[in-house]
Amino acid sequence: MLMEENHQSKIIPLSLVLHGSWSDDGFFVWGEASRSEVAEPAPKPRGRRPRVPPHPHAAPPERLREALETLAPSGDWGDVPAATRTILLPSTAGGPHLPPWLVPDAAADADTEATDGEAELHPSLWKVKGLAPDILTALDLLVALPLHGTGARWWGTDLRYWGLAAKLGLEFLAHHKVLPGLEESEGQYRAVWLPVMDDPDDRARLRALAQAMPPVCRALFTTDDAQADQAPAPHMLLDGFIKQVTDRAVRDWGRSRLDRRRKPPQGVAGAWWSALWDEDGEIAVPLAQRRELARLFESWQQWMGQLRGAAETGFRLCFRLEPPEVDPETERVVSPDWVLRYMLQASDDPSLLVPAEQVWSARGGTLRTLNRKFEGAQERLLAGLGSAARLFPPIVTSLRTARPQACRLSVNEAYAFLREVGPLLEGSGFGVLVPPWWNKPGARLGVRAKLKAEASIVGQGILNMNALVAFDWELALGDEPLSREEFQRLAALKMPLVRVRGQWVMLQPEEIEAAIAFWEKKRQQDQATLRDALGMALGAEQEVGGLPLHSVQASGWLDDLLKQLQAGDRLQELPAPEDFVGTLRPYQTRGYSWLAFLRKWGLGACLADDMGLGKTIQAIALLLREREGAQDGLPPALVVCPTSVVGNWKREINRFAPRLRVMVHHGSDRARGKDFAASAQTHDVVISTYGLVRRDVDDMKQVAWSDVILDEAQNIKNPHAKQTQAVRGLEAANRIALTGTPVENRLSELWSIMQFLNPGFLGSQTGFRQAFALPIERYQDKDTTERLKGLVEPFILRRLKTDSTIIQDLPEKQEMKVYCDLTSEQATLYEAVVKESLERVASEEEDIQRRGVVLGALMRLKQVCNHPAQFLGDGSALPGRSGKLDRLGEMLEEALSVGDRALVFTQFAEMGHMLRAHLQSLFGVEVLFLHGGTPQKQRDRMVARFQRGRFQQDHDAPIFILSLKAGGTGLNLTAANHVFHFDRWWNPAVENQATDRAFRIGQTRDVQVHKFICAGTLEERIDALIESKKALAESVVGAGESWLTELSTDELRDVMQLRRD
Amino acid sequence: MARRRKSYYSDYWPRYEATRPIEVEDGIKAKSKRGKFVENWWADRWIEALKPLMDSGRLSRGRSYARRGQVMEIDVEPGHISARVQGSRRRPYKVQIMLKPLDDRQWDTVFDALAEQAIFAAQLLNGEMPAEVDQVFEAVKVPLFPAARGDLKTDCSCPDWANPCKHIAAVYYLLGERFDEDPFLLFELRGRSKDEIVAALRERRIQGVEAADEVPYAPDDAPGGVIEAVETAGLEQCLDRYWTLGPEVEEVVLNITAPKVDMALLKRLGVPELQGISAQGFWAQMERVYDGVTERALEIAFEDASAAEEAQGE
Repeated sequence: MLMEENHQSKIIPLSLVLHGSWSDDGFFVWGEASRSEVAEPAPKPRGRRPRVPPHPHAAPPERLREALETLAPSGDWGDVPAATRTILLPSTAGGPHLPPWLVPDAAADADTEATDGEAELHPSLWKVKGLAPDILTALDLLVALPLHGTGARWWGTDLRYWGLAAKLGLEFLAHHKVLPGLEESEGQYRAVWLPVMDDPDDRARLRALAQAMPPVCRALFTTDDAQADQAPAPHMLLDGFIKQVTDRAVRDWGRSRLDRRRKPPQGVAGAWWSALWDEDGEIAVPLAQRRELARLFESWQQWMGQLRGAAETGFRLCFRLEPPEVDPETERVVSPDWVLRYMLQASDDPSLLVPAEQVWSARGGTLRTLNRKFEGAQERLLAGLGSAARLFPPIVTSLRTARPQACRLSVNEAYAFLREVGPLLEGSGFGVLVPPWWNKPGARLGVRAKLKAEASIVGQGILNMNALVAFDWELALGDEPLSREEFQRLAALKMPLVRVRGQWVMLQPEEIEAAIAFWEKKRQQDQATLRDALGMALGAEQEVGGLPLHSVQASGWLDDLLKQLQAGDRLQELPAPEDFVGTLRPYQTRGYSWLAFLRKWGLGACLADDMGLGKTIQAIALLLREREGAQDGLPPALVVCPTSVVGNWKREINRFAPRLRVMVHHGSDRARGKDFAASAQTHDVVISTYGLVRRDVDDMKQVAWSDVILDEAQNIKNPHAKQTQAVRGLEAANRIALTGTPVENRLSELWSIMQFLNPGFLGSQTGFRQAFALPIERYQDKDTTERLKGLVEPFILRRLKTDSTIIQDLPEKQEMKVYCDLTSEQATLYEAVVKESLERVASEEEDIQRRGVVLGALMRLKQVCNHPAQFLGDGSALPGRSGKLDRLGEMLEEALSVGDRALVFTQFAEMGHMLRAHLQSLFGVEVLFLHGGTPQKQRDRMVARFQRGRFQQDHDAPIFILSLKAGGTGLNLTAANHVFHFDRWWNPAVENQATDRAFRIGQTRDVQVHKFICAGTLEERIDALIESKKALAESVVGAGESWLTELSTDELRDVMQLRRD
Repeated sequence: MARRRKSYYSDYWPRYEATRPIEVEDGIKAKSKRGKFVENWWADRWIEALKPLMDSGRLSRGRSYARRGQVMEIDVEPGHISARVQGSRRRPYKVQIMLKPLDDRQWDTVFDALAEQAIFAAQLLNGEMPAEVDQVFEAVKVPLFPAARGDLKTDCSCPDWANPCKHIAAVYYLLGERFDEDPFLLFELRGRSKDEIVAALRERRIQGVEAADEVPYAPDDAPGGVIEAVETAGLEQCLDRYWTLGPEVEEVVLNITAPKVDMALLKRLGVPELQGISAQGFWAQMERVYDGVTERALEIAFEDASAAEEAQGE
């Protein structure tokens, strides 16, 4: 999929950002690449330095072709010529300012201004090599680009901006808003296709688009001596771009449609007509016909001159269509005529209408009403009528009177007005008011479905989605059913507008035909699977057999189910399971009740609460409740989660539901084959990882799980990944997905998760993409978004920490311990360090030296817990080697996905540098890092930048890493609502002080504090020690960590020893 | 500067120089360069009225005078047109064209008739001459267009014995061109200006109410299709938001569908009246073109280039 992260992260690991823009020379695509991507360093210029130096990070054209061929496979990128342009970019002394994730953060140059992203910028010209695709090739690429979204990172905002402009151009083309014309320049004429953008809405959108243009789009030049102040104006660029798109598109797409059998026009007009289809549009006429060409140009100008927008004089002619009068008693139409009434309408207040009769009686031609003055009102009305009469002849008749107020229309004329003339008049700048029922579903013939759910389907309380449900079909007008007799009577009238039960209804011939065909085919009875029936009831279908589906009615248990599904967490609350240790917060009780409700019906549920609201606890409560209610015991449940939280799950289950027997299926000594199945059957819950489900899928398939619970379900966002398919292949009575990312905005992920939860409900992936993902991602289509929402909402419960009903249940500062598992590499290193250190401690007799050895050991163990690369100091690769780092990435992804901002504290500057580089390339955002070496001026800038927040969408820096010592005091960072302590300072006072950077006066949101602890290591032991003495802690332990050195060797051994369980 | 020697052959041919008019630098040049002089029927009627009064040679010379810009100025007053035309003599000729103005009583009758049907005002204000205007003027026994020889009094200071001469014809043609654009001008010749007509008609619409101060009518002239200029800062002032999309993008809501009304623009404008283009053929071809463009645009808009690749999986 073009835009999806999962695909692309494999193809282009954020080492390339593609750019492109339009200028008078055509479209130009270029790219910024990280250093490793730029194959050869720019050659040192020999002799004199060129006036405009080459961009040091511009991706070479062949790299661009390669990337584009992968990303936009429909274009023929191999043939696109290379080109060179000059571009003005914000630069520092070191070169053009690059997106931070392209700059590898080597600790060595981390202190230079350039890489801290806060250096002074100045505009500077650079030469870039790139590609110059023709506009239609560019169009293919641009149309497919998303405007927003996480998948948008590889595309510069400039390209995405032109993507939006291209889509608007495409809309103009689709809507026939182009006319053939001529363009004159110094006596030379060209045949062109011109976009006509005179509709007020089009003009408003174009103005908005021009205003939104990122400055970089104006910075492309062909000459070396370009100046910043020569940058073209946005509206000029946009105008040129739209014109070029429409012109090229009609030439290319229209030419093949021409009827070749028709005789082409003759003479000069013929030359013009044929030039409309040529590449260059040059009109070839002999010299003798030049004058005639000029005359053609004038005639054409006159023709186009009829396109006058609504005048800016404050009011305009407005037409109001009124249905025939109806006798209220007999419900009979008094006269068959419809009335088109003339009025004046204020341009700035469409509700201010003055009927024509009032206009005719105005004194001195100036109409005064409601403190408004309409000058020349009568003449405006008359001129308008004169011009409208050309579009709609029935008006002419009324003009035979002295003071026309309205004209009468036959039903067919009224229908023509509603369907076509009204929009045409509106397009010509007139006001048009049609009866309010016109756009309502009740005025259209449609279909209504009645679901007849039989009680037998419910069976044991678990729904079989493949069970068949009978449908009764009826024709309907809005919600009102229409009997066959009624329909036939109406159809026999052969009138496009008829009155049925007191309301007007449109009966189009093609709809009548569809209705007849529908009747014959469906024979009123139909069947569908429960899955499709549910989907239909939730609004998946819009049309049946060419007729709009007006409503779906259900009865009996199905109706109950639908109502409850739509109630979300406002269901009846269940009591907490008896053996649950601790208390569920009110919203957690509601969430757990919701899970139990969906489980009862055999429907898969996605709990998508914000991070920190306790999704795990709600799932545990559900597991416990199921087992309390089951008479003869249940098969085990499977929890699948990322490696980094396996320990966390086990810990949480032990804490809240100690009754449940937990088995961790992880590590090299895990049970396999028959042993696995046997062992699983003796437990209530089996915890494993995505990786192991993929690897041990055959073992796991032996068990018929009571539940499969996916934690961090975004891990199956790629529907084709092996682990996704493995997870989907598991047999389970109940399926639950937990995720903290806004799954409803990530459509491929949404499909994949729903496919796991309720297979087939959203249809095939290709079908889903065409029907939903593409219109929403590319065009932000509102109707489709609403429809999808209605469809999936019953299966997704997502509560935000800011919801008013949630916020009252939460403390303002929520502290959570995040237990992370060591990777096997970390564990090996850890044990080696423990062994060596204890030996050295035992051999040291001098107190001071012993103390030094102990502190050194603690330091090194903390480093191992953080990351092997920190301990080894070898600059090796980061991903996948540290439980903490992986967990931090997962949690930050959730936080950033909902627009949260985070502080990350570490006590090690080198870890800070590593984190910064890692997070920047992981998220494609700039990550701020404040440490002891940061000069004051930069500190202030970083703080200001972080606090400024999200108004700077594209240059936002939502993550701020601080060294505990440098950043722990004095700063005010209330923009953050998450605080991560990546490693622990064994002194609560210091940690709290740091936490208070975010939790201070000025903080308007709740703050979540996440303290990272490596399970089984000294981090966990010391944490427990501090917890047990919390009251004493501050006085006893003082400000430093030296109290640890007072421990005896045995005590130390106990603290340090790695416990595996 | 040395005088150029005459061509050897020049003496063999009659010398036209003497009758060729002196060139005028910024004379009033006709827009029409060849063929038909005017567009609309009412201007046509005007031109036609001149034809029976003149021989075709003078007429066509008058037309070419008009096209070459020999007419230096035209001054229109009610019932009276005076103009200056540059001929072959140094001093331009004075041309007068007089039409019999209607008297007040006649005008009142005309206005009464015009006010009876709104279509007259509607069309006039819309730049059209109502087709039934003749009937209105018949009532006062004075035609709007010159019909008989006596309707039109002309005079020119040139030595030509014929009246109307080519100079008069030149002015006459140019007037026809003006009528094309402003049918009110014909009324002006008969004695009432546009403002007076507008006021008189208005007066009759508001019966019994006296029309107060004049409000000049200004026709709309808002051109369509140009993106409004937006204010922008120089690039050097935008360095901190160089890559930032403005929040206005949220206002750009797209709606890529088939059109609500097919070929709305052509339906509004009609087929352009261009010589050599048949209305029917043009319409039929444009229908196919629009159709094809919409089809292709929708295809591109909703085509999923990656679908095929996706189906293959990883």
